[in-house]
This record gives sequence, C-alpha cells and structure tokens, in this order.
Amino acid sequence: MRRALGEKWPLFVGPVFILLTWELLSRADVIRPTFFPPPTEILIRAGIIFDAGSGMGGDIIATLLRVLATIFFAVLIGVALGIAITASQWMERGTNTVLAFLYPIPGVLFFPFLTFLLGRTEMAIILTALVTPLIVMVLYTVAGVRSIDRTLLEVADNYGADGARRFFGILVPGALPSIVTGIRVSLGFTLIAVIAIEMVGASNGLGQFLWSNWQILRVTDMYVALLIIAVLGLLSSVGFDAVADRMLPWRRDVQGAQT
Amino acid sequence: MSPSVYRGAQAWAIPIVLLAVWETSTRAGLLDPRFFPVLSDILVTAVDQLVNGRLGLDLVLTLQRLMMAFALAAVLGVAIGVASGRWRTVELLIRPITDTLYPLPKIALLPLFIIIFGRGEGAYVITAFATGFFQIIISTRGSVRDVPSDLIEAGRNFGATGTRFFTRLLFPAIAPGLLNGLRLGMATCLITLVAAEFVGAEYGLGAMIRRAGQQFAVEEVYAGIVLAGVLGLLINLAFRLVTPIVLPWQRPAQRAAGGQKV
Repeated sequence: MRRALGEKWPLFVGPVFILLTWELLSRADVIRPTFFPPPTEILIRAGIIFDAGSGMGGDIIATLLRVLATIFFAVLIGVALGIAITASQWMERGTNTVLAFLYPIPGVLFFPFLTFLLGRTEMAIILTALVTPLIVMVLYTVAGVRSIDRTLLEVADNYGADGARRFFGILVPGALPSIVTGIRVSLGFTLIAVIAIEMVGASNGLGQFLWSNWQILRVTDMYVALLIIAVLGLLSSVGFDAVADRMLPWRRDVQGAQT
Repeated sequence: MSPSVYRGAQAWAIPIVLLAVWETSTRAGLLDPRFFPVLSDILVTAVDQLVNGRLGLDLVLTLQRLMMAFALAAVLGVAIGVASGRWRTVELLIRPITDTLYPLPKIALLPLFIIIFGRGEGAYVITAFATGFFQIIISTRGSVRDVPSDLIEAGRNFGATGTRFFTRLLFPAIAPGLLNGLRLGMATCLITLVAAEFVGAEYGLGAMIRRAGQQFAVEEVYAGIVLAGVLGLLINLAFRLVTPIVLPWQRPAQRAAGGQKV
C-alpha cells in the first residue's frame, strides 16, 4: 500500500499544481477573479446545489432523467435493431452505409427539425439526444454479434435453438461485452447531446443553467455547473467501467478489440 | 458477379431504396411537405445556397476552424500521447487530467472559452480542439502501449536510440493506430465544432442550420445536415487516400480492417 502510494505520487501533482496556481493567480489578481474565481470559492458556492431557491437541484435531476431516458431507449432499440439486421447481409451492409453517413452529424442538428414536428417538448429533446447513441448501439451490437464464434451458432442451429431462445440464449449474451462497451460510448454521446440541447432549447437542466448564468455573467455559478457536468462525465466513464468490470469480469479481455 | 461488386451492391442497395422512397413519396405528396421536402429540392437548395447564398461563406469558415483545431490537436495530442505512452511518470502526471476532461462534454466549455477568448474565432476553434486533443492523446497512448516490447528491445540492440528510436522505430510501429486515432480525432473535432456553432456562433455550418431552423426554412435545415454528413464522409475518404501513401508497407487487406473500425 505504502509502496503503491510512493510510486503513484505524480497522480496528484497535476491537479494540485493547476488548482493551486489558479487559486494563487486569482487571489493575487493576476487573472481577473470576476472571470476566474478561485477554486475554493467555486467549491463553497457549490452549496447552491442543495439550495431550493437556486433551482439547481431540479436542473441536475432534469438532466439526469433525460440522460437515463435516452440511454434506456438507445439500448432497447439499438440492441434489438442491431441483432435484427445481422440476419441478412443486405440489411447489415446497407444499414452500415446509412449509419456511416449519419454518425458524424452532431445529433443536436436534428433539434430544429424535431421541434417543427413535436414542438418544444420533452419528446423532441429526448429524440434529438437519441440520434447518435442509437447509431452507436446498433454498430456495437452488430460488431458483438459478428464476434460470436461461428461454431457456437452452428451448434445452436443443430440443437434447434430458434426464435426467442436463439435471441436471448445466444445472440444477446454473446454480444454482451461489445454491447456494454457500446453503452459506455453512448453514455458519453448522450451527455454531450443533452447538455448541448439544453443550452439552446430547454427550460431547465444543467446546460440551460450553464448558459443562462453565463449570459448574465454569474461566472461562479457557471463554474459550479461545469463542475457537476465534469462529475457526471467521470461517472459515465470511470464509474461505469468500475461497475461493468465487476459485473462482467470477462469484458476486459474483449474491450481492447473494440475501442 | 465478382465478390467486390456484390459487396458494393449490398452496401448501397438499402440507401438507394431509401432515397428513392423519400423522393417518390414526397413528390406524390404522401408526406407533409412542410416537414419532409422533396429530396432533389434539398440538393438544389444546397447548391443554390452554396453558389448564391451565404452557405459558401459558412462552409469556408467551418472548414477553416476545423483545420486550425485539428492541426493544433494533432501536433499536441500526438506529442503528449507518445510521451505518456513511453514514460510512466508522464502518464501518471497527466492521467487525472485526461480522465476528468476526456468525458466532459466540451460543448459545456464553450461559454468559458468565450469568456477567455472573446466572441471571435478563438472560442470555437479551442472548443473543437479540446475534443480532438483528448481523443488523440488517448488513442496515441494506446498505440504506443501496444508496440510489442521485443520489437523495442530488438530495435535498441540494432542501434535505434535517441531521435532514431522515434523516427525509425516508434513512429513506423504505431503509424496505423496513429492514423486511425487522427481520423477519429478529426471527426470528433468536426462534430463538436458544428455543435458549438449551432449553439453559439453567428457564422458557420452549425449557425446556418440554427438560423434556418428559426426561420422555418426546412429545406435549408436539411441541406445543412446533409453537408455536415458529407464533411464527415470526406474526412474518412481523405484518410483512406492518405493511408497507402504514408504506410506503403501495409497490405490492402490489413488497411481495410483498420479503416473499418468505428
């Protein structure tokens, strides 16, 4: 333990150095404290999360719910669709071409169009956020099914596993490691999309909080929002990995091939 | 039919059917034309806006920002990625920073960058840069780690030390992974850039789509989205053309496998 700590000291140097320099420069007025308030002040200000008057608690919950709803639908539809299209090479290759075109388009661009259709509703927000994660889930599910050992599929065929048994017994568990990696990637895209949409077109949420506080130059509150978004990002990546590695210990071996 | 023609047919059958269905059903008035304009009209609008409208200017601005952001991200990202893949201390020093900032949606940093750089070009370029930068660091670090250690040992024994170690041994060894990482980095640069323009810029492809959306100019919205997709395809195409020039020793089959990775 002591030795591990002794070797890992550089881990703390970077963050401590940056935060300390920021704090000192800001306190000494070298960088303008109105724009770069000292980190300690931001931390103290972070108490507004629990202050009902600021409404920030509600914004966090709104963002979280949107992220969770989006990822839920992305996984549900993406896995089903991904497995369905592997049934035919024509479907798989054709869909691949379509998705390759759609993938690099930022999901938020579909927001104007979806608000034409649905108005400025929660539905429009979630559907916009869904675009990229859904594509990611389909692609990773297809890759997962492709990674299943051919012999396994043939054995299943010979023993007459078809329909639901083939789907839940072989295809889903076989593709699971790739699907889980897909969920991790999708979570990242979901967070980006939800925050971006909230910045332009929602009446609540962290993105809206960030943007509106920036516009009235309440900079410290803006930093608090950034801090919480950073924490959400960490939870979606490092936190997700910790949970997934525990639940699917064999995932690590496959992961290298996917990312 | 030769296998490659067959594969091509499989890849394009569904997209072409989809486009044909779109064109005919909108022409026949089956879909509400206010929301689903005729496909060929979208293309006409795109060309018309490019030649006569402001779209040309928007596109040039977006490309210029993309090039600046990507160039900066590639140079710094590869340098830091190689350093942290090679030396454990560097890795430990930057690890907490990359772990925190990589998953942070860079679009959320746009307000901060506008405060720092003002409402000029700087803020958008830096937001796009930040996305590609971390992406490239992480993939470069991965490729450096994946170099087999016996290759490094053998190279050192044959005298690849100092700068020769990097130019003759390390870079050729990581080149395929590096190129793939740069391709992904450029694509993420583009995604964030267009999203940032959409959220807060006056000019640029993203800003044009926002503007068109506010004016209910549906065809222009579609034209913008199609252009964003085409830019993404062009990035992939550019890297596919560059790869055989940079990596002449790699066989086409390997290259295809590397290029398919998402």
